[in-house]
Amino acid sequence: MKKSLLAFLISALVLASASIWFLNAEVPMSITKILEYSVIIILAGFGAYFGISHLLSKSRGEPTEDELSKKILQKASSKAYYISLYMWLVIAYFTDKSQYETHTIIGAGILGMAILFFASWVFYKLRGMRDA
Amino acid sequence: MHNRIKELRARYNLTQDDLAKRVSVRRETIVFLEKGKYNPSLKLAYDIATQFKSRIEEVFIFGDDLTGNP
Repeated sequence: MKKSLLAFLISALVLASASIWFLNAEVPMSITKILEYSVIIILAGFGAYFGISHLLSKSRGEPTEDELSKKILQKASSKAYYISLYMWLVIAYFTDKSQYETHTIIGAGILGMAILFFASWVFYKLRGMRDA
Repeated sequence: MHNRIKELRARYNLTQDDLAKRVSVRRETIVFLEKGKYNPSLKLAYDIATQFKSRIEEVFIFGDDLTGNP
């Protein structure tokens, strides 16, 4: 319970800080800033979702995680990692041809990995794990 | 693999939530099992079968045999 509450609070604080930062940011924003905000929002959003999900599970008296939720997380993580290897190869190939700075490209890569993980997780949540 | 969890739940008057709590899983897992979206571990299959006072092969049917007979 304490772990879930802590995860949720940290994510909420990060989201709140990012929102304040976003509201005070200069307009128009550079690609780098947009990528930074997107990564922060996705990662903090994930943390907040899992924190809320755990708290709701606890309030219902059911376990916060079981064999299915663990398997979905493992499968999504491994699939996202596998696909991200190819994504980084593509990014490395196009780095020299791009006008963006290195840290912008790295930020885009991290955002891509976050999106891949989220997409894999949603895919397995909807499809199920028949062949686990 | 097919299963008779929904049928047996109705017979024993158990909700998905009741069964989930008895076998220490989330309700979502029972939903996935009934829809055939998840094949349980041996332990979970055994726990569920025990709740219905049945054997595993009477609750979870492998292959084309839908009668539950070995």
